Amino acid sequence: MRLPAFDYHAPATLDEVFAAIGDRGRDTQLLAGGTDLLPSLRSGKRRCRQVVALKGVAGLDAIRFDPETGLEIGACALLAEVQDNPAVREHYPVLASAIRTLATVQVRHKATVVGNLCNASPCADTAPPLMALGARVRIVGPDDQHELPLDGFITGPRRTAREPEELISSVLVPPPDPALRTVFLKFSPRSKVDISAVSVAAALRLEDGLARAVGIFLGTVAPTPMRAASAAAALEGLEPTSEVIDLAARTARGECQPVTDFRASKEYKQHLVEVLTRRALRALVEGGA
Amino acid sequence: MEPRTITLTVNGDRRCVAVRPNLTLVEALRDELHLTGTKQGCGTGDCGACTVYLDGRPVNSCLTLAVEADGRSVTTVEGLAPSGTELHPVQEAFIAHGAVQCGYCTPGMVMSSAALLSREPAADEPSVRHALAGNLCRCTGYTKIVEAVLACVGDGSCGAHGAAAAEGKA
Repeated sequence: MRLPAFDYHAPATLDEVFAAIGDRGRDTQLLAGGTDLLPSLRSGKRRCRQVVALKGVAGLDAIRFDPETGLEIGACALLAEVQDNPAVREHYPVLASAIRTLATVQVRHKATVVGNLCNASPCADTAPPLMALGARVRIVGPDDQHELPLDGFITGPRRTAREPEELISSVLVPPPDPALRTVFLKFSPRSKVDISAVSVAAALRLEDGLARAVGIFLGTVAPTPMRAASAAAALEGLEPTSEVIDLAARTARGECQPVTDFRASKEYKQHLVEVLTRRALRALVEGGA
Repeated sequence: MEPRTITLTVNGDRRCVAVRPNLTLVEALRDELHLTGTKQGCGTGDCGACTVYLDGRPVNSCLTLAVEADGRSVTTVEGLAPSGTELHPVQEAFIAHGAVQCGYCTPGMVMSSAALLSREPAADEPSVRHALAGNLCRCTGYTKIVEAVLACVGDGSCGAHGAAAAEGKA
């Protein structure tokens, strides 16, 4: 089945991007990788009169790392490029390992991290690990730019805090914290090429045997990737004994809001949240990176 | 929605073609450039039958607009063999191991396998299976496909050829 008709613009600068969008933001789809956009245009889930491709804008494909300022992943940086980036592998292994489980080789060579976030699926696999790393998004509009925490940027299924005339130029990850332990786990009925039934990213530091800076983030079990704040609070500042970890995992189960779909029932997803949260926290405490 | 003229390098040759913006790369390759080796299967990026190299990287050509290939290079299965009389070692291995049943997935399987071996000449079985996860065979003949790819690892024939196909022609 052919794609519906649309106009196509391939600007070379951000100014040209905003000129192309003009006052037609609601009729515009921005194209980075296109691996979500093309199927959704074909199925009619998304509609547009024009597609504005970002690939030709100089600098948007950059992946920059500086030990002082952290990691910046440009809007057009491919999942495969981020996964293979030496700084990402060394300092943010949780992100590289999450990308490795996402989709296929072919999709990872076309799709982008920023596109995965902007597509705003509850199952976006890069969201929980990036949230656990404290990432922010840089939002650029025709007149100004600002940053928002990634936690909160996705506001609902396929909805974000981005206005139609704005774009996300990059996602920013804070400088690496060598003491921060992070892990990403996901479960899907098939082992490969499957969208997560449940995913969990967790982060913490161990200071004098106590869990600090605990973050637990869940994918696929709410309208957006979500922070399991109560579960993290159940562990924060405490010695992470198996009883405390079990309580945090049960708290995560109680705090998620999954719905039954063709991937798994609501009850099974709740069970998976508890199991994966427990496994994630144990892995962190038992010496995960 | 007017057609645009794009210039791209296909299998080493510079080609100009007028395409509507909503034409996908697989449609342009098959219908405009008459390179029908690349197959369209699902059209949603799940089956991998349409795998081609875009600037040397394996991608789903059903998830790529033809206009995105403007100024870039594309390698299809027609461009993988080093000459008109020789096949790529992966193609030879597929024949030797009977890794073809109905054949519809084969071009994509071959492209993904060659891309893996150019990147990872010593790939082991889990790597092969991971790399081919985006290529579905509805005849379910995966075992012989994996055997064929591993045979290329064994005889060391693919590394140089695969790299040449992925980079030299890209």
